[in-house]
Parts: sequence; C-alpha cells; structure tokens
Amino acid sequence: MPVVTAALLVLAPLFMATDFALSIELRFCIWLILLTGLNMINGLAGMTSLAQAGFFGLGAYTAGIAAAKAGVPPLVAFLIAPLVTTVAALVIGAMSLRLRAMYFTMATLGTGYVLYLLFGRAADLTGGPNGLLGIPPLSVAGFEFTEPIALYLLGAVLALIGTVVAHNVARSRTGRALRALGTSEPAAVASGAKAFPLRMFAFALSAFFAGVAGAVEAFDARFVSPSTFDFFTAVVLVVALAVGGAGTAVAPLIGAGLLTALDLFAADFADYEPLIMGIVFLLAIQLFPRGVGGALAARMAHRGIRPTREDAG
Amino acid sequence: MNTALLLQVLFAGLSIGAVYTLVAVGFGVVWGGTGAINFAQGEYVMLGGVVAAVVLELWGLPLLWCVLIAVAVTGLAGLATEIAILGWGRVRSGEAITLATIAIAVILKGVVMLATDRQTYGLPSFFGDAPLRIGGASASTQMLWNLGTAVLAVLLLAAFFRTTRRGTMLRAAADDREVLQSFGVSFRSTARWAFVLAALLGGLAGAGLAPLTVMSFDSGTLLGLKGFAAAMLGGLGSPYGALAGGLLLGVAEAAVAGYGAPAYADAVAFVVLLVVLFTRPTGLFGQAKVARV
Amino acid sequence: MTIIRRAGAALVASALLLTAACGLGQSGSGGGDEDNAPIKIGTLLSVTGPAANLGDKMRKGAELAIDEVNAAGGIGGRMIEWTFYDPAGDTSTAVSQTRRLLDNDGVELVVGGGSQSGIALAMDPLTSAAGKLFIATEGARQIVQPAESHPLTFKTTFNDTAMVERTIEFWKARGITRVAFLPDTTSFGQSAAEEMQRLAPAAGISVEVAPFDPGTNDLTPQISRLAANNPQAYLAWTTAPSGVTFLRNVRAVVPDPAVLVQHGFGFVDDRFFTQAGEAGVGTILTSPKLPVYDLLPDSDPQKAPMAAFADAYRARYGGEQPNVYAGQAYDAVKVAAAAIEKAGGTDGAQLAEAIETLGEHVGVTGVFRYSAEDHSGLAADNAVMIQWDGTRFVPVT
Repeated sequence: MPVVTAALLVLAPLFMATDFALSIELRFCIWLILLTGLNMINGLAGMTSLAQAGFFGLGAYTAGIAAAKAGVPPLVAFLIAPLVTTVAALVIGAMSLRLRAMYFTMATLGTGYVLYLLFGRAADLTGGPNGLLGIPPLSVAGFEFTEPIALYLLGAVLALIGTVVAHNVARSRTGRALRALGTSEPAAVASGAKAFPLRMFAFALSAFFAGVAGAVEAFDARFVSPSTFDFFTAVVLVVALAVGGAGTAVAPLIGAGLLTALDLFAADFADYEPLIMGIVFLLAIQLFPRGVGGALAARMAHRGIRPTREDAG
Repeated sequence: MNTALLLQVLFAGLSIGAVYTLVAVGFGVVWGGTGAINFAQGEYVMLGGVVAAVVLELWGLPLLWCVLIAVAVTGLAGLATEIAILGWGRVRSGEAITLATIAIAVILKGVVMLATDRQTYGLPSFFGDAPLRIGGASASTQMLWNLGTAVLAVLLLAAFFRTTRRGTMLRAAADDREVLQSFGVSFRSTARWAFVLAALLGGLAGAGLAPLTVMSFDSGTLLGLKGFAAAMLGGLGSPYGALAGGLLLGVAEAAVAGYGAPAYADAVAFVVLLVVLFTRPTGLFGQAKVARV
Repeated sequence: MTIIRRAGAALVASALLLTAACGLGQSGSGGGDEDNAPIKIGTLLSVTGPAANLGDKMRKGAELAIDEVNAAGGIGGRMIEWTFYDPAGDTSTAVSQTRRLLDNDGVELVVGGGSQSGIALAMDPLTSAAGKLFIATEGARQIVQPAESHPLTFKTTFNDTAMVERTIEFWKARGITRVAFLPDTTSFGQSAAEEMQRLAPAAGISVEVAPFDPGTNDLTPQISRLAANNPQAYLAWTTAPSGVTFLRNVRAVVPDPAVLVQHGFGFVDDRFFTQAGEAGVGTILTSPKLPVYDLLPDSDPQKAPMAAFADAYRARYGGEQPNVYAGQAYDAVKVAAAAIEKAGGTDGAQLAEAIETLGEHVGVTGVFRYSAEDHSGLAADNAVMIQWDGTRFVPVT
C-alpha cells in the first residue's frame, strides 16, 4: 500500500500542475493523513471515534494561534500541533476507553463538539466564527512554503510517511493484538493482550495524525475557521472510511479520493450533499456492518445474541 | 441579589429544560427498545417545529391542527426510521443501529433543507404572546405549556413502563434481548414502538419550542445532542431521570448565560456529558449497565 | 485477492483524481484585450448554508445587473461572462473557490465576497496577490480599510462607522443617553461594537455591550442582566435569524413601550419581521433608503434608480421584493461595469483608479463617492432611520 500511495502522490502532480490542481492534490493528502489516523482507532481497534474532526481543528488552531498570535516560529508551531492533539486524546482516552464502545463513541462526540464550540466562541483566542486570519507561512531554515508545489510536496511526504507508519503498525504485534481484540475480546485478553493500553495507543496515534493534518491545513490556507471542523465533518470522515472499508489498508486511499471529489463537486451540489452523504452512509452500514467501526458486528456475531454483556466485567 | 435576574434565569432554564426533557425521554425510549442511541432524536424535534410552521404558513389552519399534523408527520418519520434501519435485516446490533441513526439524522436534515429552501420559521405562542410577569421577571405562557407537557409525558411514560406489558418490553431490550425472544415478542415490533413513540415526543417538543425561537432545518442537531446529555445526566432509560436531567441542564445553561459568559452556554451540555461519562455513566437515576472493558 | 483488491482500489482512487482533473482543466488565460472577447467576472455568494437567505437575494441582484448590462450590449461591445460559486458560508471552501476563479477560470475581476464579512476578508489577500479588482458586497469596514493596504478592493456597502454615526445622531435627537448594545460575535457585529464603543461616549451616550452568538436560542438571561441598568434603547446588531429571538425576548422581558427596540442594517428583511410577529412591530432600524424608496420625496436622486431596480427585480423574480442585500450586489456589478467602461480594460490597477475617480455613482444602496482614501463610498447621509409598522418598513417620523 505504501508503494501504491507513493506512486499516486508522485504521478498526480506530473499530470496536473496548475496552482489550483496542486491545491486540490494537497487536500487529498490532508484527507489521507486524517483517514489513515482514523483507521487506527475506527478500523484497527474497532472503536468508532467521532472526535477526529475536532482533533483536526485542534491541530490547525494550535499551529495557527501559536504562529499568528503567540509569535512562535512557524516550524515550532507545526511541531507543537500534533503533540497537543495527542495529549488531548490521551486525556480523553484515559477516561473513556474503559467504557463500552458506544459510550466511547459518545465521549468522542462530546469532545469533538466541545472543541468545535471552543473554536467558534473563544473569539479572543481563535478569532471567533469568522476564523483566524494572518497565519504566517511555514518556513524551514529560511525557505518559505508559499508556492503551491512546495506545500504539496510537504503534504505528500507527510502523507506517505503516515501510510508507511500505518502499514508497519498494522503488521506489528501491537497491530495484530488490536485486531484480535476487536474480533474476539475474551480470546485476545486470555492470550495476554491488554485492551486498555492497546486502545490508548490507537486513539493517541489517530489524534497525532489529525494534529499533523491540522498543521498542514493551517499553513496551507494560512487561516482557519470553525466550520471546517464541525459535526458534519466528523461524520463525513467516519463515512468515508466506512465506504472504503474501515480496517483495511486501502480504506484511507478510497476515502480520501471520495472526499476530494466531494470537495470539488460540492459547490455544484451543496444542496444535495447532506442527503447524498446520509444515504451513502446508511447503505455503507447496511452493506458493511462489519466495515463500519471495524469488527463491531463481528464481535456481536462471536458473542451470540447477547451483544451487551461484557464477559470481562 | 438581583431577584429579577435570578427568576429570569430560572424561567429561561425551565423553558428550554422542558424541551430537553422530552428529547431525553425519547432517547430513553429508543434505548430501552433497541439498545441504541437515536441520533435522529434532535431531527424529530426540528421536524415538529418546522412542519407546524410550514402548515401554518401554507394553509393557515388553526394552531392546534398545525401542531397535531406536525406531531403525526414526525411519528411517520419515526416509523420510516425503523423501516430504513431494520427493514433489510442486516443491522441488528445496538452499535450499528446507533450509527445508522446518524445517517437517518443527516438524511432528514438534508430533506428538510431542500424542501424548505433553508428558510427559517416561527410559530405563535399557543396561548397568546402576552408574557406573565412574576416577581419582576417575565415568563412566557409557552414555557408553562412546555413544562406541563414534559411533566405529563414523564408521568404517563413511567406508568406505561411500570404497568403495561408492552411497556416492560420497551425497557428490556437494552439489557437483554433474549428476554424479548422468550416472550415471543419480535425485536422489530418493539423497535417500531420505540421509534414511533420517540418521534411523537420529539415532534411535540419541537412544536412547543418553535414559538420561543426561530427554527430551521439546522435546529435539530444541537438540540438532539443536548437532549442526549440531559438523558445521560438523568440516567438513560429512566423517565424521572429525563425530567431531572432535562430541567437541571436547562437551568445550568441559562445560569451560565445570565451570570457567566453567554457565549459558552452551549458548551455546558457537552461538558456535563463528558463529566457524566467519566464519573457516573449511569447518571442520577439510571439503571443502564455500562460495563467496564 | 488482496492484490487485486489493492490494485483495484488504487485504480479507483486514480480514476477519481483524474475525473477531478478534468474538472480542473488548464489554467485559463483570460479574455485578454481582444475586442469582442467576453469579460470574465467571478462571484462568490453563499446561497446555501446559514446565511442562505441573504446570499440568495444577493445573487439575484447581481444576476439582474449582469443581465441588464448584457442586454444593453455589454461593456464596449464585450459581454459579461459570469462564473458563480457558492461557498455555503464556509471560509475554507471560499478560499479554495477563489483560487479556482483566479487560476482555473481566469476571471478578470471578482464581485461578491461570499455574503459574509469573514469570507470577504479571507478572499481579499488572494485577489490582491493576483492583481485583480475585488468589489465586495459585505459590510465589515476592515475589508477596505486602510485603503492603502487594499488598493484593489472596494465595497458597495456602508461602513459600520457610517451606520453607527447615523444611529448615534438619532439617539441624540431623541435625547437618549443610556443604551444596551447586543452585537453578534461575527466580524459584522464585532466591527460595529468597536465603532460604537469609540463614538458613543464622545456623544455623551453610555453603552453597555453584551455580545451574543448568532446560533443562540434564548437571549432572556443576557437581556435581563442588561435591564438592570434601565437602558432607554436596546440595539441588536446581527444578520442572523437569532435577531428574531432578540425581538421576542426583549419585548417579553421589557414590556415598557417607551423603551426603543432597534436593529442594525444587517436585519432589514421583511421575512424576519413577519416571523417576529407582534414583537417586531415598532422596531427601529438604521438602513439604506431602499426599503422605503416609494415614500421618499421625488427630489431624492436615488428615488428613480431605486424604483427602476425594484420594478425590474419584481418582474424578473415573480413578484418577489428586493431587499438591501440584492441592492448591494446589484450596485457592485454596476460599479464594476462603470469602471470597466471608464478604464477601457480590466487591469486591476486601472480599474481601481477608475473607481476612485468615478465621481458620483448613483446606486440603489446610496450615492457612492469613492476616493483614494475611501473605498466604501457611502457616507452617513445615505442612511435613514426606518420602522417596521407590522406590514412594511416606513421612514421614522
């Protein structure tokens, strides 16, 4: 999968290199990073998170506020963003990952919404509903990332690194343990897998990716606004991953392609976007009750008709 | 001590709290009947308000008829929800149903957005616009109506759960579906009852809310989420819990708006939700089992 | 199986990207200076999303103007070719769409800033960097101030400064000295709050400010808090539907009819007041003249153009009444057309100079007098105080 991703990321700009095309290709990279991260918790660990959009925003606003308001050097701001989101995920995860999957999902929903509200209402800090303007360009050792091609390369390299990391995690012992946890928890626990730390790892990793994506977004658009990180986006991310087949290696690619196409054509079909998204989501759930949220349904099947009793507790 | 402000905050809190109660009860009913969280609950509220206002605008019927039609239409939406999710037979687990209700919520919102062309709507108060002056603060008659409706709904539902067979069924599914099977009651029939009942309650809440604020296709999402926070606060599945949770949340919100920073009033619900999930997931009166993994 | 699936997936992704690429096309080279090549104008207005009602009226106003210009043979024989995108109230979508207009579609100038001040503010750096004229239809004065920092950007809306000045003038005339001010938390509201807090004390008026989020459902707590000081007037400053909630809440908390309830120029819309019902009757607004054009004296230079505009709008859009937003967009296109005609081309700097030296342009929103320092062109004397009488707006006596 990393090979395919690399090929795609390298070939695309060769064919379409106008400024506008590059900015779209960069959006693809950002979606890819987001979904690769989401795949860790939704797919691999099988716990649906609705906080990815919120973490995305947290990363973007952290980078933006640090660079634009606190005068932090852009590079440092870029590096801080994923750290902040990871810490946030660790805090939220510590309190909610011991709960049943559905309650975890609710907690992530609450987290995502609180973050979204903060972005819009803490106007002194974040610029309020109209957003944070005036983010300086990212500069590394004197080189400023202002040209679309430079920004694209940044995004593409990060997306590729992300894909490789995800690939390796999925194949590692941790990854396999996570998968086993999702399919048949009692068996996995019996063979030594510790559910809580494993899930924390997946959740924290997903937030790290989101933070990186957020930082890229902040330095590309050079401004951030709350509407990019609302509840609808959170749902859209879950849907896109589900359609791609959450838990599979290729899901982030398909999902990112879907979202990029949506970005492009949304202008013409904005009226119908929610309706179409909703129907697609419903179909995805009907067709892949396994795909959505990973192995949830598989877990159900293995436990018989008693989906709500946890044998561990 | 500014009594007028205190009373005003209390009235505003009870007013919106009554709406949260009805929404929370709806969540409890679907939870009891299917083991799932119904994300479309907020959209049912939106439907109730918008349909009532549209009917009034299009056909000028007496207000009572508009409300009845709105509640009926919303009930149908609840029925449609059950069919859309469970009709195919592939979706049965609580988690999957929950995610499917998110999809239904998005669809409902999208349909209303297209049908109403994004217009905003208002509704006149059921008993006239003249506010009541109590102790220097003003309360709307609508608030009293909403409060009364919420309390009545809670009492009736509690009795229904306690005394009737169907009611007992509606509480069982969350804990143990096998119980249903052993009684020979089909899962789908219980689910249908749950969704329709929840939708009717939501529609009523929406029609009651519309006179107090402007409603549009957009109004449902936040309401639903806050109503869920109220349900969790009171204890998912308990009608009295829904009443307590709803009113408490409403007053807390109004207090923050009146005494603190109004901009953050909306965040109160979510902070409450997180606190409840992290400290006492069963809520104040709840019996839902939240197993530790 | 997995390899096939992978390859297939990669193919799907590439196909999606390629389809996207077709939508992107090549960089447009613009109409150049050929005699009959169409003039490409790009517009961003949010006709969906939270402020959809507003944006929709704006689009119709702009459309009407473009049709009128083209029906009259275009500008110097060149027809207007219009590219329109809807950012749905989302600033990052708007940024992307602006890039598309400038890069891909090769527009020569941009009219319309997404129907939201925040969007227009975000678009400005992009259009300026591309050297293109940008005429915004949004209200915040920061879009064009200071003029030296925004040489190619203009707007056809009032500066909130002018509107605030007019409101203060009204208060002085009525002897009002204690006011409660509720701006929303968007750029529109906050910008006005700044001006209000700067100008009101100098006029001897004490203002207590309580900002509110446009998504709010209930303003009674805030209003109760403000009521403790017994203000003589409550002024809300917003374009959002929660302004209707404000009207209802104020009349519920403060039943004294001697207390004035007012709105800013962002709320001049029939539909909002119809929704507010009883609570809206008697509300006073600071507004452009358009809503009351038929009740103005014939000597007013704006009366004839406003009447013509209103008639044409109603004829074109099935009896629908235009509002000030439609008027702003209409004016924006007409100012652009006037500038192109005067400059003889579409170079950004040339057009900017043409607008600054246009003299007086009698628009529907007001009589514009642009200059090198003033890129809004509308002074306070173009604003009037109007009142909602239950059926329509009328001038305040």
